[in-house]
Amino acid sequence: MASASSAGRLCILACRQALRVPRMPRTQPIAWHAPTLSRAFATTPRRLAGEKAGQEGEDGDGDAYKTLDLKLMNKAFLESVTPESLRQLDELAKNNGYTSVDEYLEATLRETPGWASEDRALEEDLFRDDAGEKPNKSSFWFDEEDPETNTEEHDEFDEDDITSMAHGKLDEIRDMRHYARLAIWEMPLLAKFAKPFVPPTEKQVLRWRYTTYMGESHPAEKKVVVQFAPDDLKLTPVQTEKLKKLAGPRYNPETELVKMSCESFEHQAQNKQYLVNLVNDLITAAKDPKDTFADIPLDLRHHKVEPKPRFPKEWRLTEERKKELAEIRQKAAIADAKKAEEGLLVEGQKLIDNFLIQKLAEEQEKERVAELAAAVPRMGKASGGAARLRR
Amino acid sequence: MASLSLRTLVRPAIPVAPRIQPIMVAAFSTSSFLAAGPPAVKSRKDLPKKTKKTYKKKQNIVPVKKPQPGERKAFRKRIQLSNNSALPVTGIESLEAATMARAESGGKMFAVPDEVVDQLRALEAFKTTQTWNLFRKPHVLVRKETVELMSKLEASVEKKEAFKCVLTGSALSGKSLTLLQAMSYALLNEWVVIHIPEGQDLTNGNTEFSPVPDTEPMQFTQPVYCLKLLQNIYKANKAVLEKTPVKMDWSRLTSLKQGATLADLALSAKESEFAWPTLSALWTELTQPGQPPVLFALDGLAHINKVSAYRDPSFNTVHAHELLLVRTFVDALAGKTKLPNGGAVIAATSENNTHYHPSQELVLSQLEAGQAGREVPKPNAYEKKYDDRVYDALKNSQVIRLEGVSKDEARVLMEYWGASGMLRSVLDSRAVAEKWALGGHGIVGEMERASLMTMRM
Repeated sequence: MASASSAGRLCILACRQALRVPRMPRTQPIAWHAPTLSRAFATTPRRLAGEKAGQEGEDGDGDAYKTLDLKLMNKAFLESVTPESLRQLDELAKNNGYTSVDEYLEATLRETPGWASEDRALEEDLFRDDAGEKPNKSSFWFDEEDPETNTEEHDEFDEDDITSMAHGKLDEIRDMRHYARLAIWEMPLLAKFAKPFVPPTEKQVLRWRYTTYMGESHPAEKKVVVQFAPDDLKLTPVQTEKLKKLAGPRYNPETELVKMSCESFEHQAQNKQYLVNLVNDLITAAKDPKDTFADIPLDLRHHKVEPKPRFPKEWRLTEERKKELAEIRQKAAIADAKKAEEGLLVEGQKLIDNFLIQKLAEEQEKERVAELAAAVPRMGKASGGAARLRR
Repeated sequence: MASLSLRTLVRPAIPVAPRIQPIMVAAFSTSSFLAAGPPAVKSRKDLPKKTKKTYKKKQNIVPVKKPQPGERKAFRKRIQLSNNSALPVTGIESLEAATMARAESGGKMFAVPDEVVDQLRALEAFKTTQTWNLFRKPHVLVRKETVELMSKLEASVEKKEAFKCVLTGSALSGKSLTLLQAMSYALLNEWVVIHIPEGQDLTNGNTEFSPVPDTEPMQFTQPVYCLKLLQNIYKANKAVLEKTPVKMDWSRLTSLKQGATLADLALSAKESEFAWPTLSALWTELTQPGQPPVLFALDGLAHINKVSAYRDPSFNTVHAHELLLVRTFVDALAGKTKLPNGGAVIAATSENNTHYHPSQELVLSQLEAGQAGREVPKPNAYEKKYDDRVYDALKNSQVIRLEGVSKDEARVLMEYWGASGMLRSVLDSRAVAEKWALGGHGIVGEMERASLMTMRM
């Protein structure tokens, strides 16, 4: 009996392991599609705990236990057993007078009186474990669509933590300290990889530029740039001029460099090869004596030289310049003082005042003359009046 | 459902209180009047008028005399050469025939004699932008460049060869004034002076033009301008022209008496049709040996080097050098027309009223570099707007560059301003240096701006 009971437990365990997978969808009956399971032992229609729970809601919990049918999910058990162990089970059944293990199990379950209480409790525990806690529908975070939020953990705050901003700040500080540690302990080790600068030799006339994004893929990664000075190519002056003319707007007269780039092809190497071919072609063309382009002036319209105003050297206030200026000023001051003594210094206000005073005096003179001129006949008149009075 | 929705559209029948409704009495009815409709429109007056209500206060309309046509322009263009409020400046010599050519008169102020002022006014040598109206009498500062120019004019008469030059330099540096000084020198020395005061007047299409028949490419004259110029020449050079007899036969042009003078020739053009032939005849006479020296001056050089605003009968553009008056000047400047009695052809550039002319810039910079012994700039091979006619016209001339005056000259000038009562401060070397620096290292126009035009009286 004990062995049978242990076999039953084994079955239950197997079932449970198989059921662990579809645990979540139980609260989400619509979205979930049950994995198709072949039904080996049972003829009864397959019902899932989730279906029932979905239809009957919270009341359906009791009925849901039924779905933990022993026969139902024995597939896992079936898979785990070897034919030998099956044969042993069959033998066990035959020994007890049953045709198959199933019958034997059923009879045993029926006959065992302690089963109901003992294993039902176990089954309940298992089921609760599977289904998880009941979601709190009144929770702020409750969302039917998203079972992940159906927990209580967001709601609880026990006043025992700092704010998220403070956490952020702490993170930042942690990051900075991490980098500080890197800078102090790791970076100096990079010096081991330092290489001395070797200037390019006369043969290395091309200067290449590649771009890497440290392993990340980037559309600009394939671009290759080449620079070279036409004067370094050891061509004759005529050929050099021709090369500059051929380079067109790629020639910079200020730096005297030709700069070209390519990103037409998928890979860096292809682009570089293209540029190499191009430079070779240019040099061959420049060396071609058929047409030296001597009659065409070098076109530099593409390059505008912006004159950069700089502080003139002559304006610098050096010690000598300061002395010189002081001397000039002193001389000027002496000359001014001399002029002022002689009365040659022009003082605008004084001149104006003098002129106005002079004008005023002239006017007064004129008025006086006019008054005198007017007074003479009046005198005569007055005397006439006196004569009249006397009369 | 449908009936319900239709019912909602019907206006609610609100019962009206019977008292409010007016009791219709037949006598008071307006229905017949209303039925008659609006009054018939018989004329424009009957149309309903839109009246816009304005709440603006009615202003007192004071009758203002509107300026006559041309009055405002005359006011704008008027030239005032004296100011009675300015103090008279004493102790300044007057210009004489040889004064300006002498080296010792450099850095001194001189008064322009009254008769020369009148002549210069007739020649339109004074500009509205110059500050003559601030002073009692026109005075000029003879600067280093002036002496240089005048000595060259003097030499040209001795050499019997035209002195051709272009005055150039920064804006407000005194190019027009130097031209004026050259003209006063010429007038004092009894030269004949011809002056075109603004090159742009000839090419901006504001004066009449007429084609000269049988010319290829077509050439044009500007009769009205030429007539005015002829009259100005006569007014300014009356004394000299009346002394000079005509040497050639102009009977096909006009009937001149035996022993007629150039003044008679100039006066013979009464109408604009004969202006150009007469001017041309006068110019031909003046270029004959034995006549007085000539000064031909023009201001605003860039304008006579461009494609003018005129069009020929087939609506092609006309190059300014196809205008005969301009061509006369250009030929003289290029040396195609010789001046066997000496004389000068002087063109002044303008910096404020100009346009960029690549050929002119190139040739002037080349000439200047050549004169200074510097490296001659090369033409830009890819410049499209070069004009060879302009290059050829200017390449035989000299360039005189005018920039700021020296501090000593600035001091003399400012002392004159101070003596005229235009500056109130004490003019020591510090004050002079300040204005000199403010004026961009002695650019005279800028110094005027800094000291005269910002006065707070």
